[in-house]
Amino acid sequence: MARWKAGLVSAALLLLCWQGLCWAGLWPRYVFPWPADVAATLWRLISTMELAVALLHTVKRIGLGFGLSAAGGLLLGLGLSRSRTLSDLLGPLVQGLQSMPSICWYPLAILWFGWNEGALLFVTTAGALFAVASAAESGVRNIPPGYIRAAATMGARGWRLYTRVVLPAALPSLLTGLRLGWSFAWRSLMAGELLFLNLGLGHLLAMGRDLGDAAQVMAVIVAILAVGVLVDRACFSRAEAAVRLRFGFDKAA
Amino acid sequence: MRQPAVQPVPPELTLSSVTKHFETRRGRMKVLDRVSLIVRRGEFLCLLGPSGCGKSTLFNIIAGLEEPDSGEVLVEGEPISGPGPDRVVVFQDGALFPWLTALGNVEFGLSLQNIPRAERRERAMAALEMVRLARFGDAYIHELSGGMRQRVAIARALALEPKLLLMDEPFAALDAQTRNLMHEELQRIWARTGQTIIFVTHNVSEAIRLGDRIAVLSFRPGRVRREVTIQHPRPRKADDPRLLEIRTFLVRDLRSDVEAAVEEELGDG
Repeated sequence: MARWKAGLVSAALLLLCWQGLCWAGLWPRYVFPWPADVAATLWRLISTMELAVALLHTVKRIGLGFGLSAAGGLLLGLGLSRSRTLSDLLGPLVQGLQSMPSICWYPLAILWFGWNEGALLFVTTAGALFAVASAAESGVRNIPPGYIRAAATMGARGWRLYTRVVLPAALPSLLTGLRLGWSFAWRSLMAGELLFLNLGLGHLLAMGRDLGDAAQVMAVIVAILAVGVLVDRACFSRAEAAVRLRFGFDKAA
Repeated sequence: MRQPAVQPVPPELTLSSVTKHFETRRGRMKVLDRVSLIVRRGEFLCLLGPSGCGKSTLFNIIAGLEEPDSGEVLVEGEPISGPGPDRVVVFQDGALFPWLTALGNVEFGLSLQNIPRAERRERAMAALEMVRLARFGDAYIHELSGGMRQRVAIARALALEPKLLLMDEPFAALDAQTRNLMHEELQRIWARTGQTIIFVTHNVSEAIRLGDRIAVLSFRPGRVRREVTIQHPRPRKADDPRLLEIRTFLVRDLRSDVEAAVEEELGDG
């Protein structure tokens, strides 16, 4: 409850500063729109369903891209953690690819797929996959060995040792990896939608720029922010809080 | 209370000439030297020795977590292969799974044996009752105190009804009062279940209080250099004056080894 209030207060403060800058008249209103202008534009985008359509496309893309990178990244990471050879062979590559700014994939993606959904999906997936993989690998590697030994003396082996002990024990790191992967995928997708002029939130943003409509640009930024915060709060924060509570991470050590 | 079995029973555990080396930077080091031991069914055996005497290695070999270089480990006459639920371990830190409740932890091993849900629950609850934690089945591990955690770990092992219950300094990390309490609990549990227990410790008082028999290991290479049978009636109190005599004897007996261990540690610096 207190956190909600703090959030409201900080939002109000932000609005106040913004309005203050507007009243100060440093920039013309069409360059630096008033909060009221942005709210009006936002309302227009909502009422004409433009925002809903864009959101639908974006959500579809991020769902597919993030889903692929989450599944692929987890598989890759678990594979790397299982085999020393595989890890020696692919580990440096994964680390390297992880540090690559995902927007750099676009030229290649456009050459391979053309200006279409395939390129967007490729970059969204590539942007997140390696981050998820490397978090999953280190998560599994850093499981306290006592868990494995204890499980082994109780008769856990092979596949069951994996699903019953290794995965749950690595869950906190896996979640962190997914959260990181999500934010990478989201950034890659927004970059792609900006470039592509193809239905989506990024497209609305680019359109605002083309029309010289700063209010629209800001309105869409608000929408993009809202999606990011919402997903983070609704999915990842909740899942992490549940895990922290169960594992007892929040207790003073 | 319980007395050691008089009639000949087949040995639960037989170690014959178990030898183990470790590779170190300064070459091959002999950790265990022809250790032979027999543990009878229902017996409470303490492995006592200073740190570095190889008791943890010996323990891991019995648990199947390590393999000896030579020698045999037989459980009921059969050689062991790897770790298994007939020899369940209670570790010093408990090694309980934080993603499961206390009851979930106790059920874990049972579910690996595909025991049906109802029976699993029943046996797990019985084990929790045995360690007097039936009310805490729903608790997560971090919600329990150190002593309670070790009791869950014991329940988790008991639920599997192992041939051997292996305990590796299970109370070493507890405060003195809790440890004293756990000694009482373990004696009570042992009396009620007749569980064969091998208990590793470096604490002389603990070994005397708990064991039917104490196997004293020497410092590097580890050998069974003395076996002491303690026929004192149970439950034994921590401050029983009649145990003090044995204690004095064992402490003196261990002194040279402890000094050797300390010297080596300091000399290594």
